[in-house]
Amino acid sequence: MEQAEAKTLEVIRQDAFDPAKFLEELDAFPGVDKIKNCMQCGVCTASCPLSHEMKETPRKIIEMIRAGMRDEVLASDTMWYCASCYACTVRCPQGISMAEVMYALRTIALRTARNLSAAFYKTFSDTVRRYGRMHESDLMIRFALRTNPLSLLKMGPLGLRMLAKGKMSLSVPTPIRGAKEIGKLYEKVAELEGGA
Amino acid sequence: MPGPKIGVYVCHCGSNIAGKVDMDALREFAAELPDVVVSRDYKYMCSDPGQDLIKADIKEKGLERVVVASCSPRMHEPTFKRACQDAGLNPYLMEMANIREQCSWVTEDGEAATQKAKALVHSAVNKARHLEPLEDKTVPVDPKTLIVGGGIAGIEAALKIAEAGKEVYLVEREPSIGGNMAKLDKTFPTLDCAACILTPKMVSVAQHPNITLLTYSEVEKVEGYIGNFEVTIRKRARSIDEKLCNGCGTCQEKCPIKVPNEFEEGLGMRKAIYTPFPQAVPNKPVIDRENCTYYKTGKCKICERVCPPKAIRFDQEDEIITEKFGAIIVATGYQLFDPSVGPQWGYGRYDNVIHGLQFERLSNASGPTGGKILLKDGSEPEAVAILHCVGSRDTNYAEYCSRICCMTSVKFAHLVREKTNAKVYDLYMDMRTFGKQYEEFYNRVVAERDIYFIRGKGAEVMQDPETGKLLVRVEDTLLGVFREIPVDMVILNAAICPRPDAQEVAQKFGIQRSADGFFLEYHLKLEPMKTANDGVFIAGTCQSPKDIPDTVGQGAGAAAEALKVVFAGQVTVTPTTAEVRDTLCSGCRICIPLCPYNAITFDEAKGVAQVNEALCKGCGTCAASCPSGALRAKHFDNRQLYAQIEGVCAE
Amino acid sequence: MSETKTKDAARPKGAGEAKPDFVFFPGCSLHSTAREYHDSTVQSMAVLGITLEELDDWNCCGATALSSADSLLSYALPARNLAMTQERGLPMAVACNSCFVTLNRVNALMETDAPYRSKVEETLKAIGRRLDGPVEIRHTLHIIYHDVGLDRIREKVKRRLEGLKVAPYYGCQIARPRHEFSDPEFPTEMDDILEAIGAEVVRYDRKTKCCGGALMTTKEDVVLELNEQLLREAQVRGADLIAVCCPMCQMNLDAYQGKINSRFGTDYKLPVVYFTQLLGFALGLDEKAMGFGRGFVPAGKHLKKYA
Ligand SMILES: Cc1cc2nc3c(=O)[nH]c(=O)nc-3n(C[C@H](O)[C@H](O)[C@H](O)COP(=O)(O)OP(=O)(O)OC[C@H]3O[C@@H](n4cnc5c(N)ncnc54)[C@H](O)[C@@H]3O)c2cc1C
Repeated sequence: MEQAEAKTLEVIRQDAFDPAKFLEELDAFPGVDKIKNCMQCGVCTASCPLSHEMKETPRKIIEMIRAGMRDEVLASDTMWYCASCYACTVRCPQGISMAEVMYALRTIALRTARNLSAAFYKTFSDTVRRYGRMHESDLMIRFALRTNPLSLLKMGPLGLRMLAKGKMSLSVPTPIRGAKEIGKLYEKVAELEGGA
Repeated sequence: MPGPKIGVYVCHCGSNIAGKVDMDALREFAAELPDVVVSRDYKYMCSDPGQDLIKADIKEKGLERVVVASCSPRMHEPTFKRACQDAGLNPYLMEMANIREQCSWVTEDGEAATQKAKALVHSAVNKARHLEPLEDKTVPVDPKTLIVGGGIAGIEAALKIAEAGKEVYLVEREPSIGGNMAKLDKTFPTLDCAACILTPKMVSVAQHPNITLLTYSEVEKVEGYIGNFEVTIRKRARSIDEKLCNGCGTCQEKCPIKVPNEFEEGLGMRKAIYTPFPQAVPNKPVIDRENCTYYKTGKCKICERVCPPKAIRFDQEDEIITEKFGAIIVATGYQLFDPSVGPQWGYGRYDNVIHGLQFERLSNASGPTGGKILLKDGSEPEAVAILHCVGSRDTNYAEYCSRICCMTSVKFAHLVREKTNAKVYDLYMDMRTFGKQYEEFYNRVVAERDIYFIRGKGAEVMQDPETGKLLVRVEDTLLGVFREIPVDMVILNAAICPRPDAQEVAQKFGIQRSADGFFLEYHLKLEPMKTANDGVFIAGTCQSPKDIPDTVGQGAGAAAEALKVVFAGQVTVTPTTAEVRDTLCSGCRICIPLCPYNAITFDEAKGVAQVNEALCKGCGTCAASCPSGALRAKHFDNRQLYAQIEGVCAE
Repeated sequence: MSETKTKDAARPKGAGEAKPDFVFFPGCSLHSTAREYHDSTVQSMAVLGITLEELDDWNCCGATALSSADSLLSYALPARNLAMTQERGLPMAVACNSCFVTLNRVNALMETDAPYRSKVEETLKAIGRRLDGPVEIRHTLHIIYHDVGLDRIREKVKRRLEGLKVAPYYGCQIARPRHEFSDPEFPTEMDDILEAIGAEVVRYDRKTKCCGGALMTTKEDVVLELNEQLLREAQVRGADLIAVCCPMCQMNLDAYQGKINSRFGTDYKLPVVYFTQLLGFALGLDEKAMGFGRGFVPAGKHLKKYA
């Protein structure tokens, strides 16, 4: 705790950062623009249902982006709290789509991140790749296996009740007919992104 | 036959043009064009030494045409025309090529800019060759000025003109003059009460022999041109005899019908026969026929029965007044942004979320609470939040800054503290206290007890469903923390917006609007009161959001503009109008309905069209539509335009 | 398979080859956790004269989860569905808020000239498909409100839900960031529909506040808090039940209500039903077929008097 505070007091050496480069990297994502126009009004933070949990508020993240603090931004927990409710986005006086900024930051961070959220999004993606559709039970089991197999036990009661209500099924999901297409789509995406 | 001797003058405009366009290349290019006998470049052609170059060449080299390649003609065409005239050359033999706004400013590419500049100069030289000398005409001016809108801007302008000895008609839509300022309590930065400083001016307006005050009236039609506007005004029936009425107020006391008072911003009531507020000028009531029982059912007439001087006139009709004016000042003011457009602020949903003008009425001693700041249930608030930038500086609503809200917020904070024991939270993005004594005012208020300034935009107002308290959500951006502040009252400083009928008014007076919706001035910095319609001026918040000091300044400025017109006694009308060549006109009359200025009539005797040069603005619509080529737009005739086009397309 | 069942239910009897009104994109939840939303939507709309044809071989839209994992993929996956809809030549109807927002996001990109758009088009080309500009995407709530209209609903009501107090909960992704609805923060369409079937709509200021969505998986503690607030307001305002239009909202508020009660020491027993279940029930459809029994918090006692 004390250490963290000490770090914020550290003198920032601007020449250690390259703001233009980080902005360019983000600019490549559709829907991410006008970051430079941010007035730091904090409407995003105050509209966010989860900002009180974040170490850095969404507004601060924007300022950190503009300062070029790439590592710090990607290490922050802010974007992992975004529930995509778009409250910030419709209210931003400068028309910045904060939700899109958060997607972009997650996407960049996911390339290296190793946290619970990262595991979830990867599992989700894998499930869709396999079946073409999302299957809750499959997703949850794989997610648990990937992160904390013991949590499967904790999930037990709810899972059982879900089964009872027919909201979950244990039968092995059948892929959609176009599953091959989905596979190809994933490959093409990987090719295009790798080539970029 | 050799053409006329042409001189070309290329302006650097500092680095504005020279930074992109190759000046040497352009000058040399121009020198090579046919008939050009001299081609020069200079740092600032509009400066005295620049103009002297032109004058000297006209005299010494006997120039017959002058081409200036510089900025848009908007600003400096008169400058160069005058220079030519001073040197003895007819000013209409000068042509400008705009190589700044349409060239150097709109590209990063110097080579492309130089190429375009050459084309523009070539085109101007081509046109110049065919120019003809024209003579300015003068027409007499009506000495009266019309002012539309009786807010502080219109009042100020009316008094200035009247005091200068000229006649004014002041047309106000509402039953009283005063506008929005009349609703205010105390005014920043000095905290003098609005009524105390405004009422004397309103009374002077009513009493000044040079001012004809028409309230409850509106302009219906404007025709004519500078010096000679023909205006139709509808004076709506007040339903009383203004001469007999002594303003005793008995009718208002006895009238049984109560409706929300517009002047109280929905917080108070008025009767169906009413004066909007005690200091109204004129202090005579009107009957609101939409709500009056008599007009709805044919019965009641209580007011008539109780009126001591018998001044009620149920059968009074609207009066139509037509008058001639030399100049017009439009001072129609602003309306407040409707905060219910953004439901996140809770306006219209929660009782104690109010906007700035409503707060002014609460705080005003003659308002609905007698000057007490109270909640809807009559109790005093324990905590109040003030939100800046509600609708302003927000691309979802109005992108511009409304300029007064920082100061009104600070004022409100002070007034709340003065009148209650409530804690005050002021949520601001930037504190823009830019005026004389404004920062000092802020410094004074910021030090007051229990006023807390928080840097962050109030994002939303919610209600705790259990306690009923309002919760204002904001990020304290200086601390980087989310705050939820429980309060009893929220004051929204809503944006200053153009009036809902701004477009209609603009059309009526032949003026334009800028992207923000306010009326467009001729030049943002140097001609803020003039408009594109000669003789029509604007003042006050109809041009842009302003505080009272700036509004008053502009009102007086517009008065000076109007006085300039009416004192001159005559105006010059440009000769660049259309003309009919009688021998070619077949009398088909196609042009007549096409003319946007109603400047063409048909001469029955001669059987040809006829142009009223005073009305004609030289737009060229008629010339373009004339099947026999009888109509010619002087200074823009076919020969000149074709030559110009050839010039642009050359190479 | 529910897929075949759907088509039958959606086709009006005797209409034979009549062209359906919309291609219906159910999304994964409507085929698993939210089957009652699926059935009640398709059946009520059929009664109201709107026929839906399920998009053949649709795939997962990726939800916001994929927007976070892989940007290009998060456009390419929903784009396949849009391309197939375009091939079918009909507008698309969507009932799930999350799918709605994800599919619309592709539409927004298709309206621009961004180089990114051509990247997405390239991925489609790789699977032999193409998307030619945006596709008309409509939320079923909006279709019912706008295309069917309140008068028509009132006419068709068989059981007026007089006295039933409902909190209308829209969730966040239905009206934001796009603006098909009356307001991105305070839409009123569902309120009006519920009133048209006779229910009493209670004031619900949190109607578009977020339930936390999929963050229930990764940030359960705070998301439970959000849902507690949502339940609290509904309770304080006197609602008998909460009506929703998104599977994620339904799941969080309903399945986790027990957990919320034990965590916060509360005693909420607020059924959370899809507005289409209430609509279908009011239109005279069978209570069972509307799937009221699938909720964790039983709704039955509030409906008994109308059955
Ligand atoms: C809440 C609030 C508090 C403020 N406090 C202060 C302060 O403390 N100090 C300060 O300096 N400034 C203050 N201001 C700003 C001040 O109100 C304005 O600067 C000033 O009132 C502008 O005057 P105006 O004449 O331009 O416009 P208005 O006051 O709007 O007057 C325009 C007039 O034109 C009339 N009109 C409109 N259209 C027509 C038409 N078509 N035909 C005929 N008549 C028409 C209207 O009825 C009105 O009477 C405050 C503003 C607000 C909103």
